[in-house]
Amino acid sequence: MSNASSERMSVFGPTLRFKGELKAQEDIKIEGRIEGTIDHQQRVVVGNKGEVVARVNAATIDVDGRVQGDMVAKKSIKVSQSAIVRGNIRAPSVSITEGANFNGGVTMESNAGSAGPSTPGASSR
Amino acid sequence: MNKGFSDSKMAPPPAAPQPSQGGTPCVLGPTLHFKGELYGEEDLEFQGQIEGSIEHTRSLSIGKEGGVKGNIRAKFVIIEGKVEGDVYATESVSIRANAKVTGNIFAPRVGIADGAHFTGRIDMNHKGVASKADLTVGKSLSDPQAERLLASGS
Repeated sequence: MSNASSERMSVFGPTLRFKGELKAQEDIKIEGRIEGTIDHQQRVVVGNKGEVVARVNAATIDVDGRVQGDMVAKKSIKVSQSAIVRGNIRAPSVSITEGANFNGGVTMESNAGSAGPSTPGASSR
Repeated sequence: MNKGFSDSKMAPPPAAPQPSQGGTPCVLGPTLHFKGELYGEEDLEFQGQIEGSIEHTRSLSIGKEGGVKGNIRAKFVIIEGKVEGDVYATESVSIRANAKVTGNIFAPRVGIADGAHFTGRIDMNHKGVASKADLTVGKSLSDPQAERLLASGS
């Protein structure tokens, strides 16, 4: 039950705005606006209404909304059709859906930062 | 020291005064660490840690695992966790049994449950809460919507 990521996912709601540093170790969906840096150990979803003006670091990043800034993921980055991305992305696996608006560089490398073998599902609390 | 017998089971859930309009209730989990300014207009349950200020126009609940270092402004504030800083509410502040609060409270209605830790001053006649919030909100975020909300709330 604890591993149902969609159930226990934190939601950063659409009216929320945050400016500064965000650090987290649990899956989060961003529907609001974040300016600054995001340092994450798990999965980050930038929702349809989400707007991120920040450097994003995470294990997995899914973008449905707008992101302005560089993204680095240890595992993968998915840019979906509704996404608008301006910035460079770097991850071992990158997918960009046709229809997405993407302007920036893509680097597919596994040594994204400190690419230690991240143990999946270690701490989901 | 005497933290009450059953830590959590007795405390009623922090039921938000009104269901959030947006649909999905907004919960920020315990591993989230914020450093900076947070601003919101929807009911929010905060279980993470924040260093900085929170400006809110609706109900804000600081959960059991939540920690705030900085000032809080909102309509309703429910505290079950730790807060270091001043709390301004246009409606009410409720400090639950296991909360730890260090700072001043400005709100027309304040409740402190038996077992809560509180150090600071309480001001219930602070008529300027709304206007003060107005000023700072206006200055730092210049959000006319928030100002309207605050103004109509008082």
